[in-house]
Amino acid sequence: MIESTTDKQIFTVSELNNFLKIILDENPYTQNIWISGEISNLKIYQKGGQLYFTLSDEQSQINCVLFASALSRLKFKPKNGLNVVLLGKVAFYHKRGSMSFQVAYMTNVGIGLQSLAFEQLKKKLIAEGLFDEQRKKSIPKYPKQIGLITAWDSAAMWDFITLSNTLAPSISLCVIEATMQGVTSPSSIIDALCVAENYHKLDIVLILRGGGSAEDLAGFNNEKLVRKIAEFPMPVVTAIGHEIDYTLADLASDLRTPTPTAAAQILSQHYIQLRSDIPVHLETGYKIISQRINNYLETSLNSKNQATKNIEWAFNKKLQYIEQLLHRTELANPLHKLRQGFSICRLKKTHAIVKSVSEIKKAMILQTELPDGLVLSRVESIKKENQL
Amino acid sequence: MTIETNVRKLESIVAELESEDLNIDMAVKQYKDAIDLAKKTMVSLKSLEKTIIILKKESDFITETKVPIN
Repeated sequence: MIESTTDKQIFTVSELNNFLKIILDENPYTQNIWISGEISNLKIYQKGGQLYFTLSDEQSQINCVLFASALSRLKFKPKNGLNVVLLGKVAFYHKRGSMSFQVAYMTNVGIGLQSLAFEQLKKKLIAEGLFDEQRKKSIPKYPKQIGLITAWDSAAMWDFITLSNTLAPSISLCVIEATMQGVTSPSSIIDALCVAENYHKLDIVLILRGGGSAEDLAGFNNEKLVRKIAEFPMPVVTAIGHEIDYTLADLASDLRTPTPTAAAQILSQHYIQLRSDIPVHLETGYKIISQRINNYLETSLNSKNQATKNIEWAFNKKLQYIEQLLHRTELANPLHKLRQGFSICRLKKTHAIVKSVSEIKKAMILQTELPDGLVLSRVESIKKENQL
Repeated sequence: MTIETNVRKLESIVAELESEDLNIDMAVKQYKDAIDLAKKTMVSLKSLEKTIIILKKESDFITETKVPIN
């Protein structure tokens, strides 16, 4: 007792904890008693060899510890979901103000009620085909917007958001707040799913919850929630608890990821791959385009050369032909005949060409055309061919 | 008139000139026409040649140079 300035007694925390320890240690109802319940959250502490677990029934739970000496005497291997009966005592740790049940002896009674209920529901939903692979929707490779159903400001929420923004900043995230633990969690998550369902811009809905005990995650085995997830119209991804935790919600979802961090990595993987592939795609694209340009260049060059050849050939051919026609014209030049000694004889009066002696009469004036001039002459006599 | 029309007309004049039946007056006239037509056709051809040379120069941008692939 430290202060007594008023009429009230004020204790220190140590005083209270010491007092509680004495009460529990000296109370026969907390020493050497038998309790029954179902094992969950089983962990073995390798260094000391002691076993830590939670023993629970439908309403309550208590932390338990089984030290190495007691553990070595066990004739079976404890595991999650087993219903057991324990002999031991309640121990109060005054420094931490915590309490646990120290187990001296343990017997195996069979599968616990909670485990049994879980297994029965699992079997029923499997039989209905709720977890069938063919029911699962494909996850978009490049999601534009993801709806996160999670507890606001939780470590899981920030783990996912931070990593997703680093790995794939183009993915837009939309948080839909829900209670992720306790008896109200299934209905809260179902409500959040209804909100997501009416928000048509989402590509994926991610149910996000960090690690916790089996009791903390029990809500994810709720039948209504599991059915809602299985029937949800858009892809649902779960990231619930740790890698070892498997809930029925995980089985019903389209993709189960081990942790929130893993979810961020998996949903960003194609963006990451795309980023690393861009230089390769650019290089390949450049090669293809260059090759095409070169092909077009080659074709154009060949076409140009061929067209030039063709037009030159056609031009030269035409030129040669005209020259040939000119040559023929020259050969047909009427003056050539005169140069060879032939002359053109015309009647002076009419200028008509004389082609027969019958056209000529005595004393007529004839005009003879020679290459270098004209000769005028008078007809003195006419002789026909037969008179020569 | 196009070069082709001129050439066809020239062909026909030359064929007439080469025929024995043609009288000398007609032959001289045809000869004159043939020479005129040949001159005209050659002028057209020379103009065509200039056009070809210009087009050839203009198409010189298409060269053997290729885009480097690597």
